[in-house]
Amino acid sequence: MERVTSPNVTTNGGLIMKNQPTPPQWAETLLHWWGHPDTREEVQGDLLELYPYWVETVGERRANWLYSLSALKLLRPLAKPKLSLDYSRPFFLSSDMIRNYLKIAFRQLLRNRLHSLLNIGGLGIGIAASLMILLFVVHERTYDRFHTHAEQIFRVHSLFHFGEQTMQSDRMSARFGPAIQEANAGVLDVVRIGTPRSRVVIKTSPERLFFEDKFIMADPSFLTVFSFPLLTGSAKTALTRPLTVLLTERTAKRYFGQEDPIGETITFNNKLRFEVTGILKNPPSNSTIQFDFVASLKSDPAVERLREGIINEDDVSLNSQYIQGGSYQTFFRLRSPADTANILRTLPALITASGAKGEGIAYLFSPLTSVHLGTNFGDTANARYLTIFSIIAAFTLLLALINYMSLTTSRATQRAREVGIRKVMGAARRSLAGQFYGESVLVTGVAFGLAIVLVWALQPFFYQLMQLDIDSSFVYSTKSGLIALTLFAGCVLISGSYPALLLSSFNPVRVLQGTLNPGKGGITIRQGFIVLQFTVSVGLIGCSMLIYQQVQHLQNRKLGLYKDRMVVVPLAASLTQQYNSFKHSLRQIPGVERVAAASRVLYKEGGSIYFTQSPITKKDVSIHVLSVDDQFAETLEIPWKIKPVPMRLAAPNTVVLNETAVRKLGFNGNPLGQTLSFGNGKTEVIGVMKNFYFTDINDSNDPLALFVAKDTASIMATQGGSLYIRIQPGADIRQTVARIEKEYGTLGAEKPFEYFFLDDTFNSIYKSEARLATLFGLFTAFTLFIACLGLFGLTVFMAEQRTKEIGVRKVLGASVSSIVTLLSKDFLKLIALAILIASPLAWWAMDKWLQEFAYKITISWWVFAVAGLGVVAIALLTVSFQSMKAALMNPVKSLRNE
Amino acid sequence: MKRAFLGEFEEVVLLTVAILSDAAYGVSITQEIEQKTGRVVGFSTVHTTLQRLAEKGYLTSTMGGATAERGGRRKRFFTVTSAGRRALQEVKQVREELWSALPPQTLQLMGG
Repeated sequence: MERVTSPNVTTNGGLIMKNQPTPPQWAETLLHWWGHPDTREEVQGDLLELYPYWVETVGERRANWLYSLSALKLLRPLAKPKLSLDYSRPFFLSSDMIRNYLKIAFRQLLRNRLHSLLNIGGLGIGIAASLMILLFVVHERTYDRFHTHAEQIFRVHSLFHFGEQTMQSDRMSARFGPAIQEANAGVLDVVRIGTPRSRVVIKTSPERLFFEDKFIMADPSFLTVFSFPLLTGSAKTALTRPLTVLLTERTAKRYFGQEDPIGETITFNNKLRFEVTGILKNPPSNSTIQFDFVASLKSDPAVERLREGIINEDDVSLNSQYIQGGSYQTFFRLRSPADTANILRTLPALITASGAKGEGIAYLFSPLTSVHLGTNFGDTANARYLTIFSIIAAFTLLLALINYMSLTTSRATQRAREVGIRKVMGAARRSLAGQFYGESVLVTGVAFGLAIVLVWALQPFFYQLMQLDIDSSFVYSTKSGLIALTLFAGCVLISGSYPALLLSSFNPVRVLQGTLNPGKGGITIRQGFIVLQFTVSVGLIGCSMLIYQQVQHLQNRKLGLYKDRMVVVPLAASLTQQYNSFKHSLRQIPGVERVAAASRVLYKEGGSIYFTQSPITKKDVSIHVLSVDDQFAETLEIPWKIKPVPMRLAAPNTVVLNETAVRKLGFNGNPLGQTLSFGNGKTEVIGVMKNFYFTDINDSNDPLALFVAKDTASIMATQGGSLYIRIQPGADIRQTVARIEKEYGTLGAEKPFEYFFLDDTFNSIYKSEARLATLFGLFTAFTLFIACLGLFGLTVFMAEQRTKEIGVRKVLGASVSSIVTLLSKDFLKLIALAILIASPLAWWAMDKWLQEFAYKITISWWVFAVAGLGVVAIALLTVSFQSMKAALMNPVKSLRNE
Repeated sequence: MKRAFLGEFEEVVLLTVAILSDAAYGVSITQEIEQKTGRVVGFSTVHTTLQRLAEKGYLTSTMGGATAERGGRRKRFFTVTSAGRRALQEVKQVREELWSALPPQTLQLMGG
């Protein structure tokens, strides 16, 4: 095409040399910027060619002028390039391409139904599992953060030594809070919360009568310091008068149904009448302070008198002027956390001024937000377990994502042609990566939808299994939405990354020539994935087996008493007179073997601790006390070490000790006849029981003193007690309990019938361990399932890849079993490697976990052998299904095609 | 078929492209017009007209090879399409019809 055009031009073109006039630069630049993009090149060229001609014909000045004028006239600043017909460059997000991508994606999903199912199912389950754990973890971590002043609220607790023991208490005397507030400007407000410290029965009518364990009494500031919104009633006047109470919504509904409860009264333990002055919203499930009733703190003296029979005004706890430990949980709202230092500085002087003894007691102020996870006041929450749970969630999710990636990339053969063609047609690597990322978004989206449905469906089951209580308002809050969204974004980001990278990297020439085997691409990475998946699976199986063993070990330990088929029925103090006759009639019920009484329900209700001085060592010893009747030891089959003389058992002023108490008190071998003082009066030791397990605190074997007494003389007469009913072996427990309930009905008791099984109350001590075991078991199953899904997908793919090879081998005489071995061998090697990596890791982790138990199992090697063998067996099953299918295929079929 | 409409300058440019045949590009067309008609024509006017003719479908263009004298920029060569040729023919025919319809005495008065 290139041609010499006219003689003029050639001469002028040849004249362009140094020192020749050049066209004005600015015009050229303008043209470069704003010339029409479609014609910019030739226009610039033409002008450049014309310029020397103009210089020659009309002079340089005029040439400059002509040049600039032409350039200016040719500016087309708003022009857009028209689509050129020969090289179209579509925007990669153009609707046509997106439609094409979607169509291809759906076709892929539909064509490989099994593969899509494994992919989406595995991912969905993984996401669902981690979503549920995350929900739980966030719920635990956001405890008490809903208070408007959450950062300013502090709780005080004390640490003190008694004898050799360190004790802690979060209950302070009545004067404690107010005195500190008066002395420190930094204290904005104080709330004291008291509890009735005995069983509470609330009644509005004979039919509406319930045991209540969430009855608290609080200062009016309860409503301003904390953020528990009042639905009806005035925050100013509520809780100011004695014998007024606020109900929560759910409680109001329970007692009053649809009626308006304001101004109505509720009866407390059949004696006190509280006026309802308002309704509170139910406390959120992530609140440390839980309640159904909030009475005014000024009601406390009345409750205390009812409980203790105190008459003197000065003896009432609320009137105590000492600054020391006491009966009230005390919360402060401080101007800033730094104020705690001031408070601690002024505190000793205040204590001395009040006349209380302050030595040896440390008072600690801790933020309310740290209370739930920071201290151990009988709560099952544990920050470390939360970390473990989070790690499990992360692992499950990671495994699901890895599974997705390895399944997707293993199908690369099928997509390689497509990638090759797309590249030949002009697709850039970036747009291909975009396409595969898009497919990941699609699949992850579907999986996420599945996960949401699963979470929604499994929620009740999960809560029950984990013994959880999470408000539905929390589940549907924006916070949870954000968690889900973040999780989704993270999943998409990770799941899309590797497939997009790998698939878009194929060299189109080699793919289309058939010299590249795309399935081979990233084979090491996929093997790495398998090893990782099975490492986690084996590790988790080992861990969950050990945790299960430990929990079983704890729950089946020798308690020193008989806990099976033991029904415990709490009884009110008002039934004192009827104890004997009731016990007697219970014994008549078919199925009841024995009946005994004790002051409390073991493992459920906290007991009292007395401090007594050993007559031998003169040291103070803290001793748990329990009042029981003379049948107790035999009913619970607690063996005697030194059996008391029958005549003296249940005589006044006598006590029975357990072995630990004997040891701690320093009675070497001969405790009989020693006297001890518990509060008032001296008691004589008349017998020793073998140690039995009685507290709800982990792994303690504490000293215990049993006051054996006839029912009417014991503490049960004033505070109520509980009956221990042993059911005959072989008797129908449900029927027997029904009969007991019927018998109870004849007593005309104010308290509703309630019962516990002793083994249940015992097992509930290990709630958090049992929860961990359940969770571990569950997630082990999850990860193993996901790992097997991945393995299955890979075997299908491998068998497909090697169809020809298998055909040739069979033709040459290979047996089915040799082919199955061939296909399974590679995977088994990887799994063996995984077992080798996982076992020591799991061993190490479990060893650390077991450190905190005094009573623990030893880790035995066979656990890991079993875990490993189990995994090998499951993997083999997974693999052999597919390899059998491949091996049994007719070689003629596989070799004939193509 | 719709009659083609060509402006006077468009006609000149189209004819020039036809004259230059294979060597018709911006510069040569401008210079050719200047030389043949003695008119001073701006390059921009020629360029715009060329674009317009291309839009009307009377011209097509192809890019030539790179040349050193233009700073390596390519030339756009124009060729007359068949539609363009037909348009020129029509214009010529109309002119001839008009000329032949001219009474001889008027033609004489004009000095023809």
